[in-house]
Amino acid sequence: MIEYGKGRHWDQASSIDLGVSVSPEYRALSTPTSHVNGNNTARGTKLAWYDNGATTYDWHGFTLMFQNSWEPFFEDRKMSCDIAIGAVGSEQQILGEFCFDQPSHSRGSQEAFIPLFIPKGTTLHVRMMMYSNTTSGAFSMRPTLFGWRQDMCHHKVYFRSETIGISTQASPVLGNGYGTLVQPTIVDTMTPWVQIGENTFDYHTWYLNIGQGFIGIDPRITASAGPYNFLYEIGVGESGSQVAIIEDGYLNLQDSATGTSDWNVGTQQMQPLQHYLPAGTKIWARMQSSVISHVAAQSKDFRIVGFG
Amino acid sequence: MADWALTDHAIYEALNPGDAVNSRPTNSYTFRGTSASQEWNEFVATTTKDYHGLWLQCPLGRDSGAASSPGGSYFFNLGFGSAGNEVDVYMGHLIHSNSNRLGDGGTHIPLYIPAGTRLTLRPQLKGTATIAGIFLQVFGVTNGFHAHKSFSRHYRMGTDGHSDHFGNGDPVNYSHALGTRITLPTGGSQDLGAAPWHEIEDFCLFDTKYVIPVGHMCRTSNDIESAEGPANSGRSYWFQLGIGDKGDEQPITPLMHHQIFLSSSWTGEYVSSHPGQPCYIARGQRVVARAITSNADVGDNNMTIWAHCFG
Repeated sequence: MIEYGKGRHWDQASSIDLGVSVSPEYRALSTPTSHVNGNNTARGTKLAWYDNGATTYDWHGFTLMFQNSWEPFFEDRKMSCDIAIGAVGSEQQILGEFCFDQPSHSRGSQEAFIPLFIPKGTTLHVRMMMYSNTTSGAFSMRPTLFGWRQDMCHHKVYFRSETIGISTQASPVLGNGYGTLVQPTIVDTMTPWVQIGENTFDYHTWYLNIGQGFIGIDPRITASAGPYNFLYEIGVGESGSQVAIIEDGYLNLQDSATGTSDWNVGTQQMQPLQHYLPAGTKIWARMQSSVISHVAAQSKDFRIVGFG
Repeated sequence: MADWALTDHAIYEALNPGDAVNSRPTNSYTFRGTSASQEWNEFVATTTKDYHGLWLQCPLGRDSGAASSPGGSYFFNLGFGSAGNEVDVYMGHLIHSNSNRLGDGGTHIPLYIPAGTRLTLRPQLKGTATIAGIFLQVFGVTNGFHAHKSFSRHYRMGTDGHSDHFGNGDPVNYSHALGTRITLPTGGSQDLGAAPWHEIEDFCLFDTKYVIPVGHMCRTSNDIESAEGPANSGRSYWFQLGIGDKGDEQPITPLMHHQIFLSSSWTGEYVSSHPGQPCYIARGQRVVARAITSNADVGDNNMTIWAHCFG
């Protein structure tokens, strides 16, 4: 153990008082049973709400975790998740189109913190939509929710969320991923800013979750093609006067060491960002790639969830 | 009065500046095998702001046109201090890349780093090879990062008395030096109730308020042998942490899942992602872990578990 900063002034800045010892309590309301199927040849149809029962304490935010299927194993897939509250048959969506990528071969759970407050006794519902890059059969996923008790939580919580940048295209062809397409056309040259979504947040947002992933169908590369490098930026402001709030974000896509074409797909990142944005603020993304000869792999889609 | 606060902006500051000519960060790093000296690399000469956390992007990238980064287990420590006087402050961030897998996605490290710090990185690699030209990015998150509090202490729980500097470990069976090896129920049992709790720490060293549990899947000797399962199929591993005296253990983290892919041509070790989470473990608590797998092969029913603890 290294205890750095002991006795120095800045140690005080990071001291946290959680109060009395509290036994942490986690609830996996969605048990790990397969219950979600997706359409794997086109952008899927949203499935019915899956009732996860009522919360037994106030949730000061929750972790949303996606986990792979049991066997058989399937190839790369993209998925999105909606969360709702309310009685069965009158669900009210509180989080929409929260997207994940699931690259093939080896990937554990992916998780994101959702800073939404949910009162005790609230019935929770989950529904999924997904597509895969193959035409193989349906598969199952396990969205799991873990509510955080106030006495365990350091987070601010919010009461609204809005997802912008989501594509509504019907099938997973180029540019029809789950987000807004940013496509470099000149090697190692930053694209112009692309607005994420046509609409801006309609209320003040305090916390963002920035997702970016590879797009559409078949972003495979072969042994002779990679690695591909990517830099991306996120900006805010009006057209022509954008200010970057994330610079030099980095992704890399590599080939298969087996020497064959492979589903070597980049992971959708879910980058948390505590950042205040007044209602109406436009959000933008731009990126550059070290290759422009493989359109499906060189481009990315972006989507952003704001909480306020 | 406006109902917003202009100070509530968290700024992400890339600590490895971008190289616009090559679409990747400027500085690359050399990962040396555990038999070689592990030198510190200066990441930032002097931080100019207080950082309330770090955001890691570790795809194990390499230059376009170069060979892809070989499959393997890469890890690094972060340190503070002047040249020759570096001190580890975050140890053993393991990134696994088999022949068909990218490295990490994003990981939040809730460490407080004051302005004026010389931030260094010490990369290491399982085995004896030296792999140069690996790119990664680290963001300093500043000006308030309220979604996660920041802390000033870190230790790797469950290391079973082994060094945090892996150079002292067995370069082949190095997993033993990473954490606590536990044996999972055999026969592909997925009955969590039948999975015993294994102690990974008999005495938590300080009040822990944030943990990043990590699970490493491998055979007793080395790689999971893909040929032992049907080609192009998956095997699942689940694990969680708990606290409590023997016979009275209680889970404290979600059941975290990792799936591996089996084919006729690939073998490998696998490490879970890094699902950091707020979690209060009082100083002195006994900490345990349990795990299950769908892998029915006896040789493959092992996991090595540890947790990055912050407080």
